[in-house]
Amino acid sequence: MEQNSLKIFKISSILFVISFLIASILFFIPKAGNLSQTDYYVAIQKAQKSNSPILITLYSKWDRKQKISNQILFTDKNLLEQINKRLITVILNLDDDKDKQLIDQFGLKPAYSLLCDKNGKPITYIPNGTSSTEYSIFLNEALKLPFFSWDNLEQAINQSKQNNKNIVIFTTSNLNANLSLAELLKAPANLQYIDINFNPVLFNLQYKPDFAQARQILGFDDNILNIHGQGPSNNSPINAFQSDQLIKATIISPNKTVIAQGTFDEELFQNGNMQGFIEKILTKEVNRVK
Amino acid sequence: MDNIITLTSFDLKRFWTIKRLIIMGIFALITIAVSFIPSSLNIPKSSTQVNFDVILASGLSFVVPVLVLLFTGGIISNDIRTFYYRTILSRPVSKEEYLCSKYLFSFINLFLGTILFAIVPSFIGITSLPVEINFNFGTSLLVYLLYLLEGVLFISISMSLSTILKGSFNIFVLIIWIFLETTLINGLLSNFVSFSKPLAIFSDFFFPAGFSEAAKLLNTSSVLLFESILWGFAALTFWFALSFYQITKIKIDANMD
Repeated sequence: MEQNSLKIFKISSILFVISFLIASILFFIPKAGNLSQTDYYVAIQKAQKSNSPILITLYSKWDRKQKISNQILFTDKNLLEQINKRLITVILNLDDDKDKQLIDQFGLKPAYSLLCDKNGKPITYIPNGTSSTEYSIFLNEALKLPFFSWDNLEQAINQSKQNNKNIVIFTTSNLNANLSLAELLKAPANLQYIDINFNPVLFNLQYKPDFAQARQILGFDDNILNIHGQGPSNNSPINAFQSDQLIKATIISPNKTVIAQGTFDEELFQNGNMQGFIEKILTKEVNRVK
Repeated sequence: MDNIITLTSFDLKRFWTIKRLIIMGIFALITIAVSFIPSSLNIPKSSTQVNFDVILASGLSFVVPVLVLLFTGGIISNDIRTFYYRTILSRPVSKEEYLCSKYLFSFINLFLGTILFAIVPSFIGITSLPVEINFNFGTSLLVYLLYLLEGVLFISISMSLSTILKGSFNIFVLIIWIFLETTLINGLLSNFVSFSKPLAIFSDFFFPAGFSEAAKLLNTSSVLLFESILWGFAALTFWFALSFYQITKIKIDANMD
């Protein structure tokens, strides 16, 4: 009687071996949804030309959960249409050494996509998950952030020479601080005040080029650099969003002279009055000079 | 086949005592009552589109493992401990018939349980929500079948473990396994696995979830969908084979204590 059990065991074992072998072969077929792939540096050139943000996602043939997430998200027709219309997409391959350097530089994690401005500066992250509807909602909200239309420092200086406005640099300690800053700028009066009176620039301290420029403008021993400026190699944007946030506003002239500066305080977060804050730090500076 | 049906009906009669029927009935009524809650909240009509298969999948992903844990605790080890195994096999019943009856018993419970605790509440819940519903019968049916297969996989794991572990320890091991998958693999390690190939492979194959992954991929009709089904099928045949191998190793007069 036991022979029947062994027969079932043998048949099941054969089926196991066959399905395991076919699945193993399929495992190595590259799959990452239908997102179009652009080299990161080419993407920056394209983005600057078309004034489009850059979306960076990861891919690894070894990580099935991530492959599944990419497959679900980036085969959704509506989401793909939305992405292709508004963004330049970069897929960084975790199995590629060249891409790995960029991944380390950005501190990218498979669970997130990173949204960068046209210059490649990380602005915010989007949790990947397995729901294209959720991803689409997050993406839509993220693209409403004002930073995507802001220039980098060099562009802002050129602009400043033409329109005679000073430059306001918002230095943020991490990606979460970007979101807090965006929340303050959500009030139309605040954004309008900034746009009318200044050429705004965002410095994200977790982004290497911004970190270097912030050190030049603010000085090596500036408080925000000392507290949160360990640099992108040690403190990734994704990790750093959980730590304390610090935002600093620095007003500079077109020749990079610092006119006034101040760190965002509790009062500003409570009353949300950006104009009041900027005027306060400007008055403080005038009084200090007197 | 007659023996299998007779043994299954014995098991069903033994398991479904009046007390258990009343408890499960109360749970079913509570679940159905809870699914009516959205309609009583007067939520304003939304233009959001909800797919029935997505709601069904999220319900089944919770209900299927819970049902398997409920119905397969000590499924073989307890029979050995109470000498029911010896009593059955001392009659003209083979070991594979005994094991098949256990599979059939668990599958019937799983089938009825999913209807009562997943399909009916999902249907009531979604129809009472003020949203636009996309109902695709084919996709919903495929999602259900894939989760049933996932359930059979859990049953075969539980059954194999029950041939080597005492009492309801098979369930204990399964719970720890699911817990580690949810917390360690999907929680802590999910951000790091891609940076290490061994860790990524460990995470990929730590818990057999091919069928539920395939259910998520149904709308993408990709190679990955086919691969997921094959991984699920590989896991199912492996544990199924193991349970039949283990049953040949258990002596009729075995005593797990």
